[in-house]
Amino acid sequence: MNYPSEKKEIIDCLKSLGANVDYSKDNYFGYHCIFAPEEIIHAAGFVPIRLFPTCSSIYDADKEQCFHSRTCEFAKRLLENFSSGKLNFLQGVVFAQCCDALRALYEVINGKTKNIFYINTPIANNDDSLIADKNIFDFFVQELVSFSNDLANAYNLQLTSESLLNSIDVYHENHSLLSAIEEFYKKGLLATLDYLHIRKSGYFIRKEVHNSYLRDLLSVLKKEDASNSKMEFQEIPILLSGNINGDCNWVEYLEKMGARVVAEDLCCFSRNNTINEKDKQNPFRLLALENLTKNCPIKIGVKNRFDKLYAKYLDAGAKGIIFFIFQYCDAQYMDYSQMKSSFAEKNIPTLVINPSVFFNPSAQMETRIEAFFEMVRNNE
Amino acid sequence: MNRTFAKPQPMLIDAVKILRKQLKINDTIAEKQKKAWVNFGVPSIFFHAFNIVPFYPQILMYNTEEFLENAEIIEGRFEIPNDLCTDNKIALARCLTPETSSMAIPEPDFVVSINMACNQIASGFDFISKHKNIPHYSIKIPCPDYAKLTHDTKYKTTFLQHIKDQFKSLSSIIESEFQVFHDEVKLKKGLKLYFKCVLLFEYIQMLNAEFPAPINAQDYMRYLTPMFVTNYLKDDFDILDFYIKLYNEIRSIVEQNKKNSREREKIRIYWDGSMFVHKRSALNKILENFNASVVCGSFIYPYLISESDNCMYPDLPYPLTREKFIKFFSQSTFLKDVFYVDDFDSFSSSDLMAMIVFKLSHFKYGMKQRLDTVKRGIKQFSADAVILHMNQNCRFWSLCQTQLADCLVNELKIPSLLIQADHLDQRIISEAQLTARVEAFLENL
Repeated sequence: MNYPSEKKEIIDCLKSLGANVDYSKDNYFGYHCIFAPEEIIHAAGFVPIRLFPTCSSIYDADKEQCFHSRTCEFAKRLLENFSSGKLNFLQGVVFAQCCDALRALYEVINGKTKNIFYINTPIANNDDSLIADKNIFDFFVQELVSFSNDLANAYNLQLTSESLLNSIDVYHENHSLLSAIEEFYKKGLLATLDYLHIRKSGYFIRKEVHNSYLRDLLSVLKKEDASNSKMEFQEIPILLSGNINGDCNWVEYLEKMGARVVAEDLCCFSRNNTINEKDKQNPFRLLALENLTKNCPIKIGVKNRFDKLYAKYLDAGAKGIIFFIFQYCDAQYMDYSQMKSSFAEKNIPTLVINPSVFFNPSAQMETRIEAFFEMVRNNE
Repeated sequence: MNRTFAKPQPMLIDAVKILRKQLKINDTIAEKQKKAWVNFGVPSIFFHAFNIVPFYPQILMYNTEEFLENAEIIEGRFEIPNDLCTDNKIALARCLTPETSSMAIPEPDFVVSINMACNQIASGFDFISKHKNIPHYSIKIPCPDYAKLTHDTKYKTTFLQHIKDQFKSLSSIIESEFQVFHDEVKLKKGLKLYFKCVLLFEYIQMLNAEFPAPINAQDYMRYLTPMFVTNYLKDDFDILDFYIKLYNEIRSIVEQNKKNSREREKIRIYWDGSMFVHKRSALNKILENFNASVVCGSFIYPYLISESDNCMYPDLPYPLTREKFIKFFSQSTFLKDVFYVDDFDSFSSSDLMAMIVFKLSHFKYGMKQRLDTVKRGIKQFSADAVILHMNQNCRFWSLCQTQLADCLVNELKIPSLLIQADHLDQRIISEAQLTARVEAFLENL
């Protein structure tokens, strides 16, 4: 395989790969959430592909009234993707327990679409008692085992421990490469948009291919970073939190208004960061443990959620935080309510935006953001 | 025109007084003991066995006007989303605006949640725990595969075991954190009493299968509530006597109706979704005008009734006495059939708690189970129509209600009405809208 070695060319290549997937060329298996065990899907021989709503209408979802009007648009539009046949190329889909709206989506399409799986990942995260009590933790390990067995039975294939460990290694490398690249992004050697596109492309292509590009990019970045110094920027440094449905137009929009997104805590990006567990005696146990390390407020009892976000804020040198929360996303909103008061105690300005699933800035939104930036400047 | 319901007997409204009386008793105890805020679903007996006093903010704060005032405060001041589950908002309001609450409850030492229906309430209690800087312990009920649950014994056993393990773990944590120890003998004694109340309440509900139904089924929640919040280990209030009296009172209405040859109501309604707390009198007035009655509902029916299509138990003696009922209970197969408890003494309290919670977690079992439950309820209570309350702040209650309505119309030929509202938040629907919709529906019938 030939691919370019210069930084821009690698990034452009990744963007292009992520945006122009030929879904007929491989066996794709969908998942909607960072808590789905991609490694198991990968070990089964599929290409795990993250599902982002792409349907421009929610006509059918509303027409069928599968959800009431106060359901998050993300779930509605994803339903539309299923109903319209846009996802017919998928060999299967797995839902992991995260929020009630997506559980409702699973209920709607279960029975209508074949090869839909559900995994009861814990609703609590980083819960010490959960891990400490072997019996309780083993239930979740067993859920992963059951999913693996269900895949093997449904598709008549063999999913061995060895193949799963190999997949885990591939994903571990991916986590490590992305973490390393993130450091260069923090230093300013990568534009925010490029960094996010690099991450996003990994959701649509084989992880081995993604790793290959990331390795090349990393070596280029290391050479570029000879001075080991952090670049300075004039724009307002902002931390983004929440969910933008992977739509980087939002970041571009904010940066055109004078911000620089120096760190993010977004559903489709760094919330997927995992701490690589080392003990590989039981790969399913390893996956269950890694699942619990993801810092996502969808789960309850996320340990040190504020401390981690605050540390990220400080580390990145941010001066304000913008929360992107879809309307009717109660889990994220509950997180915001807590985070806002905690950040306010530290005199850190925050703003909440309710975007649509697709990029749709309004004049009102622009006014609010401008006022927020003004506040951040005055705070300095 | 004959009224469908007899005027409420004094006993039938005692349930609210019971709650207030319990609160007063709890206030006296609470100064010396550890206190927990608990969401509805974990019977209080579990905590009383540790000598811990549980409070249920959701139940204790069910006051419409106060809710509205508090909701606006927490939404404005604390940016709590207005589409959050109303029960959650009640608990949060109590936490964030205690000064506005008319029913004061003591501050908790810890909170316990159980996600029997959805994850929102666990999320709300998590918020409370962080706000008050106190521990939050959660019992996490997974969403099982309903088909496997009903046909695969091993799968069901694993599922129950998981819930049991969590209760065991919770017991250990409470013991070590708060230096309190649970009395297993007392807890099991209390649980046995609980099961007796459950069986009796099943019979009380089934009285509404008679023509005409003696009771507005929407009142069942208030009669059910004491079963959860009462301290079974105290001697000054006998919960079993309460339900025996309730049974006799309602049964006497049935017998009176038979004696007077009262005609059945014109329209018998099955209510899917949470029952209204507000606008109840307006709704009842419309129902009376059309000689209609709510005979059963999803808010109560699936909690207790066995999974059989027919009530398999012989009729209860009437008038019922404590002695007669205890004898009846000892001879019945209820515990085995409904809770899979064949030899009570061989089960630990964690086993029994797991069985109870398993039965209460019917929301987790998905669309198919929901449909089966509604169909069974319609058949058992001879419902002519279904009103589906699509609660705008509850994803789970409103899940697939449109499909449910379509299914009822097409499969069972049962007319159904969907109302988009909220059980407590009056801002969602006005009285005029509600009245118009229900009237039009009943007129068409």
